[in-house]
Amino acid sequence: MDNYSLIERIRNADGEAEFERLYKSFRKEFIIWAINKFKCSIDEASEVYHQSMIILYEKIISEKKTEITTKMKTFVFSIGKNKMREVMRKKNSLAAKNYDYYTDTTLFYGSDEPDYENELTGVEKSLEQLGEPCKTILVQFYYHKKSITDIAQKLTYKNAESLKTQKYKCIQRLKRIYQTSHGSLNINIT
Amino acid sequence: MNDQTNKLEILDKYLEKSIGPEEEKLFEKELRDDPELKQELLSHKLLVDGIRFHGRKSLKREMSRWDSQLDENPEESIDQPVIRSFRWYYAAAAVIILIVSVVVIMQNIDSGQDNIVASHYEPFVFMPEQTRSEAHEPEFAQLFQYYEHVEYLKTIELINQIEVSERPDIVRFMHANALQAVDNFDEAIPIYESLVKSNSDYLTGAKWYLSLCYLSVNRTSEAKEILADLSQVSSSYANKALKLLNDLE
Repeated sequence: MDNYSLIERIRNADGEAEFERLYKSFRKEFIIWAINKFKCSIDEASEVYHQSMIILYEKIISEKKTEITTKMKTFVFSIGKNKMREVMRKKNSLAAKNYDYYTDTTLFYGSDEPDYENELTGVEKSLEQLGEPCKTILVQFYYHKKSITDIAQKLTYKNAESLKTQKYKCIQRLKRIYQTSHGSLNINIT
Repeated sequence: MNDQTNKLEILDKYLEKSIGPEEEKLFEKELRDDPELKQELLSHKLLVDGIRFHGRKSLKREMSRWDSQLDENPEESIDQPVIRSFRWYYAAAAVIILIVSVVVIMQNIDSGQDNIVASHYEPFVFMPEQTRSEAHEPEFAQLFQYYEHVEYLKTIELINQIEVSERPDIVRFMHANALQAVDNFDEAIPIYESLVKSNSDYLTGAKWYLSLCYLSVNRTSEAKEILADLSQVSSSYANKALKLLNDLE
């Protein structure tokens, strides 16, 4: 299957199943390659595979179809190789400090601003309290980039307009929950 | 309600950068004039980032579940040959053990060197003043953007569209770096070699990255020769070269 059709299928309403197939098809080869090339542990290889596949997924759902011109596998291995090198560098330079790969979130989230990460964790907790169907609507729209029409169909809403209204209510509720437990949302982000 | 849902739609489009140019101008003017709207945008951005943070973590959990499924039901199984003769079996086993041992030893040698290269390799970082002074052409500006965002494949694609004779040294150096970053050493090496030969502005950088490329393709003695040479020059690469030489020993 060419890139174009694969990307379209992953972007469809039921794209998760397609992405799962893609994930499973590269995993074994990636882990063996990473262990052989970098002499890393299975856990490290597996962690880097997760990161690489998340980057691929987010690229597929957020960019125009023409943006990924190379083969998916080449793309994943190329990201994986750079991530592995980051891991290696961190391990070597921080060996004296008893570096712990699993507590180093900067490798993945690319941010070492603990305040902002705390805020994100706060929103995440509020999202858990929000319950269904709001949680699904917001995650499908903002993370998986599904269209209002697709979400409306999947959750059997009357039409896209009623889902749009529901999404607005969900955001307002999420804001209230966050404010109740974390105080004001008056933040300064540039 | 319609006004409010429309306003939310504009905030979403603005954050996603999918807003039209006219609408964007108007909205940015409103943002300047209305501090409350600006605050609302920032609050909304935090909520959206938080939802994405959760989405990414959920996807990661899902992947761990897929891993368990794969571990429980490995989809590929190796067909076992029928053993007809014990003598044949022992002979074949001995040959297989011998081949596996040689492969493992070769892999250890290779991956040992790979690890050394990996621990010394860092993609070249172009300074902003370089990008400003040398990237006059619009396609060069795009190149720097791709390279900075670790989009090596796109960098290569874009450079391939520029006539070879029209590529200044900085673009050739970036080309070689991007090729090296995606493990295409065979194409990276001649570019570095020509930069070294022509005594370009990127001479020391080209020598350093060329030595790493040589190591990646097991041309160790050539790499060592360049590193010994680099360790003598007064440049930040001298220390790096010395350290790498030590590690290779």
